Amino acid sequence: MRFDRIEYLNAVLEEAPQSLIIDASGRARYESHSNAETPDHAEIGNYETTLARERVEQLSGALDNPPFGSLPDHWGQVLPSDHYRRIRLVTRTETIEKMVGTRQPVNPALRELIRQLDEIANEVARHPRQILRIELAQAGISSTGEMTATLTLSNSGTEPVAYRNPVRMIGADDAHLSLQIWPDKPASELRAEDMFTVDVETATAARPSGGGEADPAVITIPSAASVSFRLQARLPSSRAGTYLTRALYETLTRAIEGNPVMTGEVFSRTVKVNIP
Amino acid sequence: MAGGCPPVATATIEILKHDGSVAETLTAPITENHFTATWIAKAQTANWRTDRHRFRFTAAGLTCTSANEFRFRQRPTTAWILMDVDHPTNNGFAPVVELHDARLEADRVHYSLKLGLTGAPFGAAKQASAKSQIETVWNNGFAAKKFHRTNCRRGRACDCAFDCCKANYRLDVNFIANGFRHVDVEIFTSPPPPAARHRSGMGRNGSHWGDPPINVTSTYPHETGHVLGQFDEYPTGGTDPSGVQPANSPVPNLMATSGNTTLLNRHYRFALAFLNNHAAGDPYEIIPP
Repeated sequence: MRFDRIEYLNAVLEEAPQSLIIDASGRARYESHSNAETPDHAEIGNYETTLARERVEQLSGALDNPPFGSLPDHWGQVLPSDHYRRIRLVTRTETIEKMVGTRQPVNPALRELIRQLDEIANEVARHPRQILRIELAQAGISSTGEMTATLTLSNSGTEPVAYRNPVRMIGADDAHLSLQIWPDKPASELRAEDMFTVDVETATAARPSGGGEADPAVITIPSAASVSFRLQARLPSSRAGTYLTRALYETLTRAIEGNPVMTGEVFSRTVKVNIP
Repeated sequence: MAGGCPPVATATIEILKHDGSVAETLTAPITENHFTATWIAKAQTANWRTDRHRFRFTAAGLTCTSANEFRFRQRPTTAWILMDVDHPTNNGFAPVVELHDARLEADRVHYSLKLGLTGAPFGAAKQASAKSQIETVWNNGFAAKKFHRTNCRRGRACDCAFDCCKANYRLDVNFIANGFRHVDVEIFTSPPPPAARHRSGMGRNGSHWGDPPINVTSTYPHETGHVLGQFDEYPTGGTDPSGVQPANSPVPNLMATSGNTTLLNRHYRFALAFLNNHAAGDPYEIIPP
């Protein structure tokens, strides 16, 4: 089936699904708003490339056999908040949309189509344009339970990108900057409730020289650049030992003071920290 | 009215409480041997349903006490009623539902939600914690609000301390092992970190909770909202076709923002509708607006 556009949404983060858009020329744009399912890949962002003709033709073939419009899906049955996948096929004459959740079997042909689209998304994700990557380092906990760490935001894309300033996220009711902590022990001995979360209480930026607003609401980071912040949080009383920790940067606001910003949740990779 | 009242210029009218003490004092000019005064009735005690109020008139040193009495009209009450209403959503999701019991009691709209459990173990302590959390969010969300008689002459700034013109809201959630349940919830044990926790969802069929949930503050109360008739308030969710709940709420709240437990008047609109459907034609609204 010749298509004008395919839109594929994968609701890893329900408020801001991963979005893959492919047009007839093979131009593919992928927006990632969460790395929750790929925590070792500590970034979200916008990616873009042009797919090989063979890939586009393979996708067109998958839409024909069996016809995409005839595939049974879960429309009207997916519970709000469930992890859904949505495929919208736009041709010159019609738009066909399919939706599947996690609670019922997925038609095999639809499942194969989703597999191909996930594969394409991973392929496009190798071509960053605007990236928010976060890294946690220099994490330490004092004997009084104060935790400090350095959070670095970087952009490995080819274009500058605007982020919500972590300093201005502290205490906001529509954003979270937090640290997740759990004991460093074998996965077989670990439970989900072993992890606890503390809100970052202060974030301090390294101020550039030469003036400018001290803590602007939005930071623009050029390609291949980074900015660091010193974080401070207070831990509840915890058993002494070695722990793993990671930062969570989450904002679902698409614009701050009229300026578009990167939206979503991004988890840093874990670092070890010792509770004395 | 007992006692002779000679023609004079001004009468004093005392509104008497049930115990005979004075609640309020009014004055009114006497014209052609009669006078007219208006008392905006106000409950004086918590026993307003049974209190009797008489009136005492004084003019030219003479006092007359009314033989007739004023009594407040009581709000109707109901037995438990099963609410079972689908509300279609946008974006291809299953409908949200009102699927719970409701009862109009003397001073409140009372909701009761009965949940069954299947799947992974979810012991008594976890049940108690989830019950407490859901109830606290939904009940505290109404703590600064009231259902208020629209026809109350004191208006939206009514300072009446009792419930003659006001009603509250309460939600009770209970896990039921045997017997009727409104919703069965399948429990899934979330994987350990750093893996993502299990997503939760609630509706007429197929409800499921991650244990622990993605957001320990708001997930269970948010999902419970979907069986109290509430839509998502973010654009990619199961949003409200009518727009009463905005698809992109400008105000962070339980149905819009992960981790937020704020509830707004619109989230209690079905409880208000229940009250108005059973208040014998005496309409109510939520205050403050």
